Amino acid sequence: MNMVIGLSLIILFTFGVPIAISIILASIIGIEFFTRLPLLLVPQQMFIGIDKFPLMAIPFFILAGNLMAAGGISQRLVDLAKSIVGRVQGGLAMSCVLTCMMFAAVSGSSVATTFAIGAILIPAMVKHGYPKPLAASIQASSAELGVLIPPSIPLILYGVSTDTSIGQLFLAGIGPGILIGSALILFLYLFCKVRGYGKDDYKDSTGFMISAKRAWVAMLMPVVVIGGIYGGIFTPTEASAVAVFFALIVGGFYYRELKVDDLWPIMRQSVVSTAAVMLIIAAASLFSFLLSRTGLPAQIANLVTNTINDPLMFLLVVNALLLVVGMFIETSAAILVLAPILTPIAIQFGIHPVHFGLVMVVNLALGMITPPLGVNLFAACAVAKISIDQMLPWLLRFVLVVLACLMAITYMPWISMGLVTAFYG
Amino acid sequence: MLAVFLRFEHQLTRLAMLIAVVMLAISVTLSFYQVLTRFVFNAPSTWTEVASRAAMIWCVFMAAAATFRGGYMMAVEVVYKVVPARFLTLLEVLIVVCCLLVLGVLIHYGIQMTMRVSNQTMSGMNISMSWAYAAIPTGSCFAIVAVVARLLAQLTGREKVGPENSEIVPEVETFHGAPRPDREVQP
Repeated sequence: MNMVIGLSLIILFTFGVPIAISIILASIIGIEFFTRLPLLLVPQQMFIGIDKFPLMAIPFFILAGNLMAAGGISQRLVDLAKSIVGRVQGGLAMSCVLTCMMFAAVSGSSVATTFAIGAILIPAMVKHGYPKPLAASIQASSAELGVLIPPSIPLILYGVSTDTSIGQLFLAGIGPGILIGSALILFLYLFCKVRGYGKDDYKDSTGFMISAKRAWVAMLMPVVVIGGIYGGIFTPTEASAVAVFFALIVGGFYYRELKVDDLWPIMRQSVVSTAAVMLIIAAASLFSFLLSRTGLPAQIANLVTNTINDPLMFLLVVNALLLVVGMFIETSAAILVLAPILTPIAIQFGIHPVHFGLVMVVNLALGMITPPLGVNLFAACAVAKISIDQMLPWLLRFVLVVLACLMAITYMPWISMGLVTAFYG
Repeated sequence: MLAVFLRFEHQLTRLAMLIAVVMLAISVTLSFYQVLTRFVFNAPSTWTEVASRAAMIWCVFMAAAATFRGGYMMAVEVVYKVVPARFLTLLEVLIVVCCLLVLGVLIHYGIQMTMRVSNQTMSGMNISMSWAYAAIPTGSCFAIVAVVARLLAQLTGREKVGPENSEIVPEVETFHGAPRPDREVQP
């Protein structure tokens, strides 16, 4: 049965059947032909899969991020970043990374980050003499930070599907986020020095105090969200609902850039993104229910623990596997299917589930900037109006930088776990 | 005939979208209200979490129609680059058959499931679980119409065959693409 389900899943995926539909159809085949279970399970398990309060943080953070983007926060964050790192050569490229780090703290998705920040910074970089594909590559790779720095949708998904604390995962995401951000900034600094890009970047940066004054209200949002979660005031989901109203009030009444007319497109777009993610979650929960009935995860675990006996080796194998998976499959879907299978094995090897979650998310997030399926690439190409092939030669450098960070995060658990142990002891 | 059907479907999908948007608004408002009741009114409410979860389930399944219609369902899209153009239509038909099969199962067994839970009530509220489960067959019905409409529009050459970049809604492009740089940034 496992063979048939696996094969049909692979065939359906390659034929371009939507991921959610593929997973449900493969499960239906499994239930109908290989078990005595009723098909009634299909709607039931799908319902149970998304009838979870922690999951609702996903649509709410999507909505809050979209509201923030439309509410005039992007330009303010860009100005703030420019005022901090914009004065040196290559400052604009470095501002892009820094802005993405800040925007990531108010939005849980990296595609939203690419659109919101890229729309401002890609044209600006092109104007300052950066080649278009380079500008798009910088944007696509720094937007990856969007899924590491909390709030983060993939981390919520990992937390829900493996019963790991979302609060701890968020805390653990900060270290790797800062690491990758600084690595990219350092790389861009050297790269621009050597290649001579961005010599006149200092021209449009404003004073730090002025831009900080403009942006501070927006930067209050991560403080409220993170502070609220760790202060025990609210759960991550409640924090996300608070974030929605915070974004609404800041954008509508403080910055006054969010108009009533904007609300319908924002809601529409948030609802569509929500449905696309949540239907995969529903499908994946049906699938993992079926898998656990067949005992496949235990079999895989046995096989792995029998052939690999070293946790470091295991992490290396997992990283290689995830890199390949990440190239073809969207991050959320990959986490939902693989996390419940891989995490128990990782725990057997003595790897902390929070650390393992960060390794998975960083790795799969790299898949967002690797062709053929990289959502950030599509987004950056759409903003820059170029094709993906033009970006590839530039992109490789950034992929290698992030890959080096991934290795560091994998083999130095303190990068992610440091804050968690400091906080939770 | 087809034009009439497509217009009908357009209105139907819009209706589903409207319901989904309203449900998202309800869901987020209830969760926010829950924080308020606990900290401001000092009387934590017992029913908001359940109600907001039910609203979210309605939101997801009602939005499915528009998500299918616009081609925003996430898929592995490499195949569109490999397969020669003349087979693309065949491929689309194949994909639609898969979708219809799944949606059919969801409608049939979704209705059965809805009947089955009719005497269970949601915790903290005196409302039958059926109201939440009904989202699955209802949403799937809307989605079937949308899926068929998309295929017909593609077969008759009204719309382009092929994938949409997942997660990227065209509206978003124009919407985020021009983030009003001409407007003054005020402190």
